[in-house]
Amino acid sequence: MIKEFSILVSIVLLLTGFVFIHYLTHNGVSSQKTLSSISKITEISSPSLSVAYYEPRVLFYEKTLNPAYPQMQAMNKMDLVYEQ
Amino acid sequence: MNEILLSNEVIVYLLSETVLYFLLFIAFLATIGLLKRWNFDAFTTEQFALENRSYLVMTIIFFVMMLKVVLLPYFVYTIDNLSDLIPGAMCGAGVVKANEYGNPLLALKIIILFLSALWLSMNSIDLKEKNYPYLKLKSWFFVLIFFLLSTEYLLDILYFTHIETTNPVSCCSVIFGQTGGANGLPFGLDIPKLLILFYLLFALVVLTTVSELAVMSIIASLLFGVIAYYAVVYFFGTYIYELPTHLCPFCMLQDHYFYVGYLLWGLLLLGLFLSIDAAIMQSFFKQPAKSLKRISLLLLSLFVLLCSAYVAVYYLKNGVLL
Amino acid sequence: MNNNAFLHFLTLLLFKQKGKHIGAVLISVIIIFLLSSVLFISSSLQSMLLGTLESQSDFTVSRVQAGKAINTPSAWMDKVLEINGISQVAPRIYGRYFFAPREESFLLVGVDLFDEQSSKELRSLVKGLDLKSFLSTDSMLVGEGVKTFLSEHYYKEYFSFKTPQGSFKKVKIHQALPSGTNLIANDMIIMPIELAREIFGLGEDEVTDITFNVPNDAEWDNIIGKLHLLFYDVRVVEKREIVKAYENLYNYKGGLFLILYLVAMVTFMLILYQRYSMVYSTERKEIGILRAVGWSIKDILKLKFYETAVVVLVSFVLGVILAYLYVFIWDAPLLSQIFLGGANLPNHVSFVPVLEFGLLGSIFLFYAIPFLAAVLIPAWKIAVTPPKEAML
Repeated sequence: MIKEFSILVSIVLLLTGFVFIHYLTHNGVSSQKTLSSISKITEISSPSLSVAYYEPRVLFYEKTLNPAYPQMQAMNKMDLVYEQ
Repeated sequence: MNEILLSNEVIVYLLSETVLYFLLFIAFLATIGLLKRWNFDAFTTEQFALENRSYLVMTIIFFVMMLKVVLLPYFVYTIDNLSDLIPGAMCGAGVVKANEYGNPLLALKIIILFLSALWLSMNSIDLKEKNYPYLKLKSWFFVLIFFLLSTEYLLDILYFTHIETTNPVSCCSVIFGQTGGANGLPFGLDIPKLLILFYLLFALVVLTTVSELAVMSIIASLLFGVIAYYAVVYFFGTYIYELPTHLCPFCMLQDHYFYVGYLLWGLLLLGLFLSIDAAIMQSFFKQPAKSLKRISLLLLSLFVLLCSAYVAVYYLKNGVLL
Repeated sequence: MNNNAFLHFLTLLLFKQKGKHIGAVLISVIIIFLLSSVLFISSSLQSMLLGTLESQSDFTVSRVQAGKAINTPSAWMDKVLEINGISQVAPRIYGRYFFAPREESFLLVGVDLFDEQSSKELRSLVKGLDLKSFLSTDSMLVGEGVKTFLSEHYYKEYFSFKTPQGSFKKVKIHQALPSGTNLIANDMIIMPIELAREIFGLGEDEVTDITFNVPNDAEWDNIIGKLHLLFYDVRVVEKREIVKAYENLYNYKGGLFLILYLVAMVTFMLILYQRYSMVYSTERKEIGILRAVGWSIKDILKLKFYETAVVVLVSFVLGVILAYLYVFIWDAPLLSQIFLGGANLPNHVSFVPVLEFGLLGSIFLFYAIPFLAAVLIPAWKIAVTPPKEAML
């Protein structure tokens, strides 16, 4: 093994180590607890999607129509990707 | 569109299978050419090209085989993940049962793995000789494996496109459980007899392998495989789950049980395969296979120890057996 | 062959000819980076949302008319309570409030603050919340996105809601919710339930919908049947439907992305095939020399395989690490908008790191198998070059 290669390998290993340390030391439990408690208080667990006025904000409960053109099917833009 | 086909794992799995199948198809075409025109005694450019081409076949099969070994656990993992999407399924068992292609597919995968590993050991002894004595044999063998692989690929596609996400499937406790007092064990066995058979067959495998009784060793290994499957599902599994009514070969693959299933089934399959492989190498090709045997015995002993350890640990912790 | 010498030769070769590999490594890193960023975001969101679902009620019922959910009479609560096996029946009042001038909307949620549990939960969530002063005047708690939006529009202390009756309701902005709740509460306004009822113009006997629990899950199907017998214009949403939907939701996005990515992957394979065919054909002489000094075809294939394996592994690790940094440390600017939308209030979510072995394995298989397969045939072609021919 030549020196350059060992340097490359050690750089890669160092980066991996850094990522693992970050992964192991992050405080996932407390952020999960914060989310759980807000959804417990409000009884709403839908993600806060930044949706336009004709799209449903609370998934699975709301169905909205385009007020400008009621005959038209709701465009539900995020629905294309957020299947209901 | 079927939701199943949008699952990440399914896409990755099908892509991998397709790429591998494409390579195998190239290898298959090359093999047909080899079989038609191979003549080792000829000194033509064509023969020389064919010898080179046999290296391509070999490389492809080696490569595909290595990846199939990885893809089998990945397939099981995929199925296990799908159990969240299919109503009623708690683990892989229900998903495999979701249509009639699941069980043959899983069985075929294991058989193919066995056969192609056999091909590899055949190949390695072929390369040691100077005049490729087994080339015809291994080429025909590959043609056979290729047909199995084609079936497998077809089943893969049929299986994943025919899973219904609306029809509920049965949970593992229904499939394997003794509902209505029926005994799920074959040959009229009960648990004590099954266990006696399990340990006796293990002893038989060890004895036949050590004393180099090739044919007996193959038979013993196959029998041990069957009995070990039932023993794990109907007895040792209950200690892994610590629940006497939980009978399932798939649930132990979940994180809840620390993925011990992958280790358990991996040890069993690998150990069985190596012991059969060693026996075949010895009896048909007259090749010494000391290290193969040693490894296979080691793996099988680890398997038996692991199974027994679950029972022992449970007994030590709780002071009773289930 | 001495293994150490082989390793030395392999690494020497890699570095002497780094120009040959650097292109492939760069493209691979970009491909893996994009792929794993998307999958990291979706799996992180999925696990965060599924985690919050655990504290949710099992069922929600609302009245429907012409397929649309309308206000539910609160008398239904008593009827629901009469069914055996049901507990914790609670009303919900929520809805969107449109900030007309800019067509932005907030999600107004009424919370029963006299309920022991939710007030306790709220106090532990919002540090330094004085419930007494909160309840003494009409006040609300706002999400971070709402807070920024309102202060940009000079509503520093108070905001005036317009009720359907045409009157204005002045509500004090009491405090902002912690930024950890952004995923759910970015555009949320929490206020006492009576105040929300007034702003939405709901009658005393109306609520938006009703939630309840059924502790025994074997009874779930039974309960649904009973509800449909009790009311004819009812829609029942189960929690397990939502779990499945969330599961699908992110499969859908990741999966759609993966399917589109297949095209890129196939192109990548073609490029690699071409590139390595070309690169290897310039190596003919070198391979010829190796063959002449006694290397077998197998040895050369081994050399090429290890070379490719190093390229694959290094670019995989680099790509994944970059994606990790981008998603979990810099919170995925730009890409997160695909998942969270950008039509309303801007949202800034910090993703909780989720590294699943299965996900990493999927990414690796998706990338490594096509890569290795594409290089296999060019490598074989060069390995079987006869030494004599190569010298010409």
